[in-house]
Amino acid sequence: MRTISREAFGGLWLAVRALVARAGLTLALTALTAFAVGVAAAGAMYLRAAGESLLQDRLAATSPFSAGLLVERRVATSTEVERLRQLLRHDPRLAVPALTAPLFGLESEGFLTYSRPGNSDGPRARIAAREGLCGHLRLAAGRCPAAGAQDQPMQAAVSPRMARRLGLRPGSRLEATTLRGEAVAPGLVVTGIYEPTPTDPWWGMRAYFPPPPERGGGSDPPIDAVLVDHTALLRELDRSLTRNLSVTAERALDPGRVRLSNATALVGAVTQFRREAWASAGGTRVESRLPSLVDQARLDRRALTTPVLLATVQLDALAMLMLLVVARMAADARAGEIALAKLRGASSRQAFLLATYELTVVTLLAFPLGLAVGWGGASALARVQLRPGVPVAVTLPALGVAAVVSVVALAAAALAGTGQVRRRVLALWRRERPEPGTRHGLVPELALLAAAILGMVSLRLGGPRQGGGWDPVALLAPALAVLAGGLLAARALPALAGGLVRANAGSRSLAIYLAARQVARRGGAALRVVVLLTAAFGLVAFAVTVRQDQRRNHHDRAWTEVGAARALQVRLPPGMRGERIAAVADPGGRQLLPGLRTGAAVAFSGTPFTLLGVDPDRYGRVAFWREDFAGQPLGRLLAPLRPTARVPPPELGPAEEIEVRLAADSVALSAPPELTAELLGEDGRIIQVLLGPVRPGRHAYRAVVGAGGAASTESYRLLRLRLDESEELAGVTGVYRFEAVRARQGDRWRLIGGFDPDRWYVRSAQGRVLPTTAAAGSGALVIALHRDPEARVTVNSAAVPEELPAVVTTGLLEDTGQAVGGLLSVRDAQGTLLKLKVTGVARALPGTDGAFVAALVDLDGLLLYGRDTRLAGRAHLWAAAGPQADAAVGRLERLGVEIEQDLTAGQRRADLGRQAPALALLLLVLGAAAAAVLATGGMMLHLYLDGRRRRFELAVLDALGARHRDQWLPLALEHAVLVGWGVLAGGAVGLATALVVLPAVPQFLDPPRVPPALHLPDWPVLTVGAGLALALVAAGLSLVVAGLVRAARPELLREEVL
Amino acid sequence: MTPPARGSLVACRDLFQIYRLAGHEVVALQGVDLDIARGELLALLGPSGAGKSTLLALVGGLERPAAGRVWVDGQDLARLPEAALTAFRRGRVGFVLQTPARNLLPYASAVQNLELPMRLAGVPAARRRERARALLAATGLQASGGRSVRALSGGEQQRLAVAVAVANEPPLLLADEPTSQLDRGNAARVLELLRVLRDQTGTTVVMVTHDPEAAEAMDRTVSIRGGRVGAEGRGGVEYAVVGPTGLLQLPAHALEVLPPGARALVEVGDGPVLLHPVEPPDEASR
Ligand SMILES: Nc1ncnc2c1ncn2[C@@H]1O[C@H](COP(=O)(O)OP(=O)(O)OP(=O)(O)O)[C@@H](O)[C@H]1O
Ligand SMILES: [Mg+2]
Repeated sequence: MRTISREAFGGLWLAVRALVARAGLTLALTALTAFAVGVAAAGAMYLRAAGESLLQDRLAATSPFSAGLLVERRVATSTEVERLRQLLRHDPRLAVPALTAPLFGLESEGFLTYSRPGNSDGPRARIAAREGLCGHLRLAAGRCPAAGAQDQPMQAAVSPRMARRLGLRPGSRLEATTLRGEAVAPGLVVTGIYEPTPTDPWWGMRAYFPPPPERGGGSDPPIDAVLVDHTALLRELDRSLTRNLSVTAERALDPGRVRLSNATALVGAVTQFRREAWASAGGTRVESRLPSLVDQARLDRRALTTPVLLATVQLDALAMLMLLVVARMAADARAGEIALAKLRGASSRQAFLLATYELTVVTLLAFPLGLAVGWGGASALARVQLRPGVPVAVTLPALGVAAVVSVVALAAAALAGTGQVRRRVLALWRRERPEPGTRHGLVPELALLAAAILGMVSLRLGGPRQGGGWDPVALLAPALAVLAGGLLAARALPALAGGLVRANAGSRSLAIYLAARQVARRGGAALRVVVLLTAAFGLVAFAVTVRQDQRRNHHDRAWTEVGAARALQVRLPPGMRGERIAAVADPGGRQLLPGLRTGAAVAFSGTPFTLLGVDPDRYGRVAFWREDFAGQPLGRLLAPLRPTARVPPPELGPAEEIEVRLAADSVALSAPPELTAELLGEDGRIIQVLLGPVRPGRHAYRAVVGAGGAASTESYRLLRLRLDESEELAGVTGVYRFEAVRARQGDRWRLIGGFDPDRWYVRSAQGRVLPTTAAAGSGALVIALHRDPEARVTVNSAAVPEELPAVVTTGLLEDTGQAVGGLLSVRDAQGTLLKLKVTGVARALPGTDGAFVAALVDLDGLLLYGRDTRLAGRAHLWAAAGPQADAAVGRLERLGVEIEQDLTAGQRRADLGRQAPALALLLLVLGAAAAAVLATGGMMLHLYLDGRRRRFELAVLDALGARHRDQWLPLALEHAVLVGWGVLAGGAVGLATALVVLPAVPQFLDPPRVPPALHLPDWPVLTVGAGLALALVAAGLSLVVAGLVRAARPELLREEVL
Repeated sequence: MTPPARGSLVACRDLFQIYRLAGHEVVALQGVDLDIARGELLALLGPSGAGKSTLLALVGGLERPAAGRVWVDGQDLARLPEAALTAFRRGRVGFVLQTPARNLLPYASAVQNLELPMRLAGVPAARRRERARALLAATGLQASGGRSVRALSGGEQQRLAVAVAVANEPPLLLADEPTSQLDRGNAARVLELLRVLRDQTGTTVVMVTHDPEAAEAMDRTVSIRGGRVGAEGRGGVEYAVVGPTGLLQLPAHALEVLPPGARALVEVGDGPVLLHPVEPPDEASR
């Protein structure tokens, strides 16, 4: 036993000596094996880290509280509250790691009404308390409420809105009553006025600061909560006056403690928590978004797996190929020793072991090295691409993959060595080998070529595949194609060189002739290295082309979705309209683009689409545009949208009340239609004023305009009057004679006008023209509806265009089957019917958030139909790129505009860059580049080893007194031809492969529908890349040639070849 | 075909070796008949390209003959299975190749080189070391045992190569110009080593040499010319050898009188056989 181990050790020692003696080869072999191991391990590690990063992205996109856990329960006594606290704090079954300790709060279930003493009217709001309130309350005046004494009024902080409504100051007394009219006992005393801080995550999922209500809405919505001390509110609970309290306990998620590895357990714990909490205290509501977040992160990761696998497989295939070639080079270098061992009577097994020892040592060295390299690469990549701080760990799968690759590498290298073991002793010394290019070698090459062509054809014909599932053809076709291209290029080279020889036979340029002759004579080893070089550079060219393509399409996609360099959603100062404020902040109209983006639907099919209203001139200057979006220049496309001069709708002035005179006949008494006036406010909102059910006979219908009955200074315009069928859905029938409109300001009633049939038109709910008769000279409009009851009848101001010219997307045209010039009936977000006259088509409309189905109209025209009420007080704005645009945005802010959402195309693009296909492509590019460097290294090594044999030739030339130039020029030329051919042919093959495959590799491209992807090679990058590659290669070559020439001294001739 | 005589260790019968090159064939040996006795010291002489190295490769089991037979120690090498041939090389022959460097692992030390064949043959470590020391002493390389082969001079490498070849005490030593790079003193030392080996262990030595002095130190010399056995010498006297088909190669000095292509009349008397150069009549008229 001892002897055996000593034997093994002795053999190992010899192997180490041999490895050291052939340091260059050993290095190459180790580097390649390490690379193969590293790529595989890096793929696995990176996949894990990227998954982790995607999970963290998901978690970060939601607030810690909404990602965490909310427990809510209605309580009637402080004992119940205490019980829940004990349970949550101390019950081990409810412990969930990665969640912070619960933050307790109390709040009224419903809204209380607040008023000054002696006055029962006032705003409604919640009363709420939260532990640690004083640490987070931003006070504008006064101090934070304290617990106070038992019988004293409860201390409270109120918002400025509440203070303004009720005229409160610190020290003011306040009364609160529940819906049922019970008063909160000793009342409240205001100790402070707080600034609402809705963006502070500490408030968790509590919506204590609702946005300001819309004006013109009839009701008075609740406002910011009244905040009190937690102990004080708890005390109040037992005084039984506010029985309807909920206790809340919120546990925030600590994203730093969530990992993919514990996410499943965490979700389990949350589910368990929900069950336990329910069981121990019925009626408890437990909410958590964690399970759905983790699910989404898992889906993200799954989407990443295939592209990363794709990159890894291709790189590893290339690495294996290189390994085989270099292993063969190593085997060649070892031939003498194997021959010697065989001469001394080593059995095949012994000779094989002798050969394998070295490979084993190399593999043992390469394994940790590869892991380290892989880890380093994955970490570097993670630092560039992933969330900062995401750890890259050597995971078990990574170890496993690395081990498998090591074993495969060992086997591949051993395979290359077995040929040596089987050959005859003297043949080994003579380096005899079967002639290259025999039919034996042709069969696998043809098979490879056929597989590559088949793969590419099937990719092209199959078209883009959605879903990114396993597709072995897509997985391997590019790599196969690149490899086949390499083989073809290598086979073509000697033939080309032969042609060159013949062409140069008579010429005086000895160098070219000699070099070409050498290349033409080159056999197996050199051509194998050319194949490698071609394949490696082919993969680089492929990867770079695809990635550049993807980057450019990401750029276009980001800009199209965002619409311009920057898209803002802003909250406007009261009474201000987006278009007006933009005109102030950017009078030149080159930096800001106000607009209105709203949802709409095709009336006929109900297909939802995005409706974008903009100023066509500003759109042309600010928005992103790509030539191919439309068949004509943007200016010409948008020209028909510009509004023509219009009669403005009748002006009511700053009206407080409106009156419509209407005579009705034959109205169904049991179900009379309702009359509503639609007014256009100064801020562009549509205000609906209900004038009440129509009564038979001639009446004046009146209603108050504006909110709260306070004196209005706002001016309104009358857009239309509406008759809606009653709730019984009886339809609108009868004869209606609209006579006049009046408005009241203060005590004065003013006649606005009659209903001149030239200035009004009537439509049914379906947009049908309804017949009218004009009562001659009276300025009245008569509508007679006898047979078919209508659901709605609108009397529209002629200023409201009947049809809006629109540029629509191809998608919308396809959906409606319309053509340019046709009319589309659509409904806006309010359900108002409008007609779009299609004046132009575009394949994409920037600013519509990437909608495939969208339409672009003039903003002013659209506003006459009304603004999306959800956008009340808000506006969409786009900004161009550059400091001037930023300055314009700054001016906006100084004008009191509050930016609620700020999305830049750059960010959007970065987000796209962090999605799975982009990440995998980056991995492929970097890996291929590393492989190309290694292949170049392998080529250099080959040239050097080969050159060492030829040193003697050079030395002879030198001894014969040949000029220096005649020594190195043919050598340098020969090498340059070999390497340059490999690089350039590789580049061409890779580029061609990419161009053929580009529109069809789903895992690489996730083609968006909007904008349509463009596939054009990025010539500048490719040229620079090729230049870089050639420079790198040239530098390496000059080193090799210089080294060889310097070493080829005549003294060499006196030495033995060792 | 005559089987080998009992006393001979090596017997070659009508040996042919043909090398196939891309365009043509080279007949390196064409009908060699040779017997070598046990314990004999034999020198192979002959011009360059005559086939000496080829003959050694066949006798050493490195190659198989194209035709003919080689018996070594009663084993028919031409018919030996590959594994047996390997075992034969391991235990039965020592080989010194013509290119000195090929005999040694360049990166290993002298001792490691010496130990390699013993290691292959499974000689225990202690015995290996002892034997290596003895061989180094015998070749005058005591001081160089730990040095890497690269650091040895050409002559030292050659001596080491001989030592490595006899490390396993093979009954047959085949040495292809083992003294080509040695000065007279060292060459004598190597020859002495071979003689001692023969005397102590009965090793049979076949040595290719161009050095007349080295050849003289051997028991017998055999000249190979044009792939055939041309002449034989014993005790300084050179004899012509009649080949299997009655072929006779003339010694070099006789070729001056009878150049290749000349005609001669053979006159067989009681004692000597006489050759008379003549001009064939019809040939001359032409
Ligand atoms: N592997 C081979 N392929 C082709 N021809 C060969 C091969 N080995 C030897 N020869 C030819 O066979 C003939 C005999 O070669 P061999 O090496 O036996 O000569 P040699 O007598 O040892 O010559 P030297 O004294 O120069 O070493 C030569 O003509 C040689 O060219
Ligand atoms: Mg020879």
